Amino acid sequence: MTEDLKAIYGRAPDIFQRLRQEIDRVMVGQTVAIEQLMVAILAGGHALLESNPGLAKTLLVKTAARTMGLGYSRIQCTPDLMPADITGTTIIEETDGSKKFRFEPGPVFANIVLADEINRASPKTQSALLEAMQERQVTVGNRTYLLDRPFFILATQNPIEMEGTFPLPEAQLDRFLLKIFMEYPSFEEELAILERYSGREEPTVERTVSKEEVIALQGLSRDIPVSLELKKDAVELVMATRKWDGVQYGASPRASIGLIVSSKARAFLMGRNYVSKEDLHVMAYPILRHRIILSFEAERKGLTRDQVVTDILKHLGL
Amino acid sequence: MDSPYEFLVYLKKIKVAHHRFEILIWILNGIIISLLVYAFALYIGLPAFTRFYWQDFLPLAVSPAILSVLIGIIAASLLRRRRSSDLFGLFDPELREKARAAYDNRRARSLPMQSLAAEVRANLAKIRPSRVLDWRQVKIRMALLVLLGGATTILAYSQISADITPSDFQSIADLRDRALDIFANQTAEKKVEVNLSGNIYGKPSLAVLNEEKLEIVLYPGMAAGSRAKATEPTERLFKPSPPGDASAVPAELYIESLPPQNKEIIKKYFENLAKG
Repeated sequence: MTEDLKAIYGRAPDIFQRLRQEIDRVMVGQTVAIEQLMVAILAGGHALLESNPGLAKTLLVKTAARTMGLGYSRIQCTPDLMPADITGTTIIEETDGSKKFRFEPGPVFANIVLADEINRASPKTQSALLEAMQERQVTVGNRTYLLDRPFFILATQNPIEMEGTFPLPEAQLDRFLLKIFMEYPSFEEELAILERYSGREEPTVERTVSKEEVIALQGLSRDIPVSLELKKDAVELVMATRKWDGVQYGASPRASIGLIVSSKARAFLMGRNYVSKEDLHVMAYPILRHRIILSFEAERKGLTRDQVVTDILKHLGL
Repeated sequence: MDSPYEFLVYLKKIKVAHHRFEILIWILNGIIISLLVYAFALYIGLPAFTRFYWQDFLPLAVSPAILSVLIGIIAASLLRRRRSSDLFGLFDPELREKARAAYDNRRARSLPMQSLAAEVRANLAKIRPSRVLDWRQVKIRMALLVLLGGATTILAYSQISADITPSDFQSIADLRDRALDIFANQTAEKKVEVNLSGNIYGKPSLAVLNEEKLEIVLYPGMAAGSRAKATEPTERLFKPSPPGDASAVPAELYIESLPPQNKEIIKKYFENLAKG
């Protein structure tokens, strides 16, 4: 255990506070989405961000990347986007009269990748992201390239205008640790947005943490102790989704892992050195909402996935 | 004593105190339930019954008390098993979660675990084991114990079960006889149907002897015998012989002197009396 790690652990609450302050200089409101985005980064998972257009999804990701000093890239997904457009390709380069192959990395070679409107990309392109998301590596031709750490994909999708889109397959959805919703701002928040963005200068952010510190914080987040009782609660919660009335397909064991890992990250973010029941309760929604498939009958009745999660939590007394 | 993992020592101290407390609760529960059962036994007159019938055999004579203690022990043990004996439940919600997480991860040596262990140690060091125990539970049980003890004493010295006579156990005797009848009916091959229903004990009965009617009341129990009601003197059934001249004389069989229509009923009556 190095002294550096001890120092980072000691400074962690201060780091998180400054990160929030910096993000708040740019973002107005969206506290839940910001918190969950930071949880996803700390837990080392990927997030699917769903909101209507114009709610600052891109701005949030860009701001997070800047404050953490991380490399950022954006992929605007369209139906004609090819896998090589994401992973990169091998090109022939001529230098000093000789030709040789050189790998040109694609936008996936960044620390934070924003895959905007991912459901507009073809399934072939969507699946190209699978290896990157799960293995944190990219294979082009017969060579495999490791991605830089930390690596975090934030995909956005628009809940409206579903024509010409390719809904993400369940296997790919399961690979996203969290599904984050962004809501419309309140009257006061929208007024503050106007104040902040209608002038000559737009707010900027400063880097508050280095890439190495982010990696160290991710490691420390995994070390946050969880009681056996809460682990059992997490498993019970996930298993309950598999036999709940109105749920056609429940969450996989990956959801149990995600629930504990993200609860640890949230506890760390909140300045606690242990996971509490509240962490489990709060994280249950973004962890489970994209992992359960409602039955036709439940959808016909207007039941939402978040309502199902609420019902299960209430049933289990969590 | 500088290790943050010293919280385990504090936790152990509280665990020992909690264990003792649980035993105390178990003993109190056992006594309360025993008293309750014994008070009920007193109320229905069971101790008087057993003393009456088994006065020569002490273990059976005091069997209601022994039974009450046994029921108390078993019930208290079952209650103890059902009570969730959660050590962490003694702490306030925040410390409960911290202590539980720290205890479950006591083998981990990470930075967050070390800091958590130090926090839990600091919190537990301030706690006196006896202070976290819920002494209200003991007080309630003590009060209940005093009340029940008083009630039992009153029952034991009151007249509620003092005037117990064998006829008070008629229902018990009825049950026993019914059971015996069922057994007898199962084992014996088709017996002659006798118009003898119900119980013969404790009721005024009529025995006919040599055309003499004898009103008797029979009571259950071995050697309890019967108590005849005083009637007019009857002629003896034996013939006197002169002194010094003892010789066998033919005697009329008792059964032969009975009215034939009542032979079966009287036979059954004596059979039952013999089974007593």
